[in-house]
Amino acid sequence: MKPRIDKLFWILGPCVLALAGCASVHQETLNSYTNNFSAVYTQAQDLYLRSEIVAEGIADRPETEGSVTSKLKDLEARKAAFQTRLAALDIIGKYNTVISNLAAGESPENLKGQITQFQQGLISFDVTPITKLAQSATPFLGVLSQGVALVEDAIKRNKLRAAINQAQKPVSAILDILAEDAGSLEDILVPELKRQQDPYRSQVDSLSRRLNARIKELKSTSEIEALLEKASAARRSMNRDGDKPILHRPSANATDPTPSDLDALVLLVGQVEMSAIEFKKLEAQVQAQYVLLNTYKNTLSAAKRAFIALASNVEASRIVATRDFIKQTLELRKATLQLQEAK
Amino acid sequence: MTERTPVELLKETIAKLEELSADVETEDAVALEANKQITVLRTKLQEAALDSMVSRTPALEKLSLAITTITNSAVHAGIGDKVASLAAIMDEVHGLLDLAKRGPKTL
Repeated sequence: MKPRIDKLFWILGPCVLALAGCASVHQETLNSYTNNFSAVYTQAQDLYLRSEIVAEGIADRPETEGSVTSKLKDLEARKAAFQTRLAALDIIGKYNTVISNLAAGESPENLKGQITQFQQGLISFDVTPITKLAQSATPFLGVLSQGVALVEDAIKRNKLRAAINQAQKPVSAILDILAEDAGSLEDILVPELKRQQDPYRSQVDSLSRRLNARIKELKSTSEIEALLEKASAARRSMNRDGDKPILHRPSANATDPTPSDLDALVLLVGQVEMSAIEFKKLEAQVQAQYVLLNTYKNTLSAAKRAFIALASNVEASRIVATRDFIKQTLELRKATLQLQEAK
Repeated sequence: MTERTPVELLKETIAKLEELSADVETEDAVALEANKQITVLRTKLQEAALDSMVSRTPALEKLSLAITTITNSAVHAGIGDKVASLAAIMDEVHGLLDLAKRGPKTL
């Protein structure tokens, strides 16, 4: 038996009014959040995959302690840790797709073919004839059919809001863990670059020691002082903590430098300069890596703020948080390009 | 005085050894040994960082499970019902994170 239309109006009317008053998640804000999250996802994947390659290399290093079995066991646990992170990112990505679909008005039934009890209740009212009737000139029927559409829309929006509210804690906590990981990733990726720098760093030090020992045997001249300044400048350009200039302290038995002494010193200083240049090339990568990881961490914080703001009823705060997230994502892309350029 | 973490200790030691190597008055044999130790400690630093990530993994697994549950619930009927245990999951995660914060295995 179909209910009378006027009765239906009084049943649905308050529901429509109540649900229409619910704050909605702005589609544009949600799209900005999900699109920018994709950029974070890609960057995070890249950082974790690069770190996994380092983990594999560590297992083969002679200085790594432990038996072959224990090294393999450690490597398996570390690889599993990377897989968990990639899976967590993937899960947030899938979750973002679901909330985007809900926000776009895609019915939950279309997503999984299941319906809510409330919607089943609505179907029992047999809304199709009402919609057809709404095309007639009867004014309140038009209002009623719009009301039914509003109720259906509100159900979707309520699901969306519930999905966002419920996911706040776990999504925020995942983003916090990924931010903590950024510190670990720095301690994995930066030492890897420093290992490549080490031969040039120790070469500069070794050549400087030879230079220091050689000039002790020679009396001070303007050529020697100029060469020392060149060597010290090369060392300073490496921007190392605690760097000290090479001071000329001739011994009591020091002699006047011969042309061949000066030639040998020119050669040594030239080698110091060359090694310092190689060191600095890699230092550009180290600094770009620091910037990238710092920006990545800031972007994760911005992503968290943008996600929390999605559930906010204040549109202005959603817009501010999303803009901040977009800005951080652009910074992240810039830092990625800078690292690629430094290579 | 705040206690230094193994990672901080490793970084400080590497910095001191680098300074020793950079000092032109340091003997060659000593500098050579310092550089050998730097290589070993850099690997230890990387391993400590990897172990930190491993220690945070169980919390991440629990959180991923919670998101999966919420996503499925958003698609299926009755979102609120299926995430009733979310608070319990979060409590467990906080416990796991506290454990992870105690740091990776010591040197």
